[in-house]
Amino acid sequence: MLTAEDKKLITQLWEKVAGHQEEFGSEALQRMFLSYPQTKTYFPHFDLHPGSEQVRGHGKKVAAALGNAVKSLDNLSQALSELSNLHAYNLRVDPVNFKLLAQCFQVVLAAHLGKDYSPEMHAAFDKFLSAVAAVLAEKYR
Amino acid sequence: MVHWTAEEKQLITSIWSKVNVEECGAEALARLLIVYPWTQRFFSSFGNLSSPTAIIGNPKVRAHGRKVLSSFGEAVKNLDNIKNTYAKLSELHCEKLHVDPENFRLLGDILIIVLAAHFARDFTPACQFAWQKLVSVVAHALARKYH
Repeated sequence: MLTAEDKKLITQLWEKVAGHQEEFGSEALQRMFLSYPQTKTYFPHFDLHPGSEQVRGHGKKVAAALGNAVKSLDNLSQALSELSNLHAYNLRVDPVNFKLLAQCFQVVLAAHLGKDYSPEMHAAFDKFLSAVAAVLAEKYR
Repeated sequence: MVHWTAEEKQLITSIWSKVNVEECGAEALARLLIVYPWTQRFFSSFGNLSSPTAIIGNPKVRAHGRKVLSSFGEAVKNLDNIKNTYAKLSELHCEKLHVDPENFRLLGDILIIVLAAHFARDFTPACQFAWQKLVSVVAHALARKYH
């Protein structure tokens, strides 16, 4: 699914994210909660106000997981196996929501990188996020 | 009927007033064809779509992108009447163009990414919220007359 060119672009892109993981991750979540309020139903135990420490922490976690995935593009299934179990058996987040977070993460990238978020990078990263989502939902049934 | 708060309307119109329709329209359509290559199925008469560079430079893509985004402007001008504004276009997309409405959602999401790239920090989460709502309403209106 991910071509060699895709992998190169994804790696390059992530170099620009390094150092901003917590910021980008939490902004993506914040945008997702605002644009898609139904996603808040998975976080009844969180304070979701802007600036929430819990959201920052969770954003950092999500971005770190994506960063790990970027390092393991040749074997996403294995690298994300634990997270895949977690999502299938504990969290059971409906997979439709992965697309919503993917959209918001890309909006964050576009807002921060501007022109540097080229169409080619956009295509590769969209593919990457789809692949991650597919792995996370792999064990759902 | 869709309910828009005064704030949502303001966020939409203030971004729209600064949009370069030709540039953003071209970019949004090009990205649609690049990121979701199967959407090229509707544009076999457009000539060279063989690479991202070819797509971005393709004059038919640019012209059509501008046309599509200009039409979007009608929604912005008629926020309280989007359904009727797009009635004829909805029929067209169903009966003549045979476009799966899922494509409207794809293009809407891409447009938002293009706006984010252009407006950076000014494309705040609140802006995104209003615009996600708008693209969803437009997609819905365009699908409404399908049969």
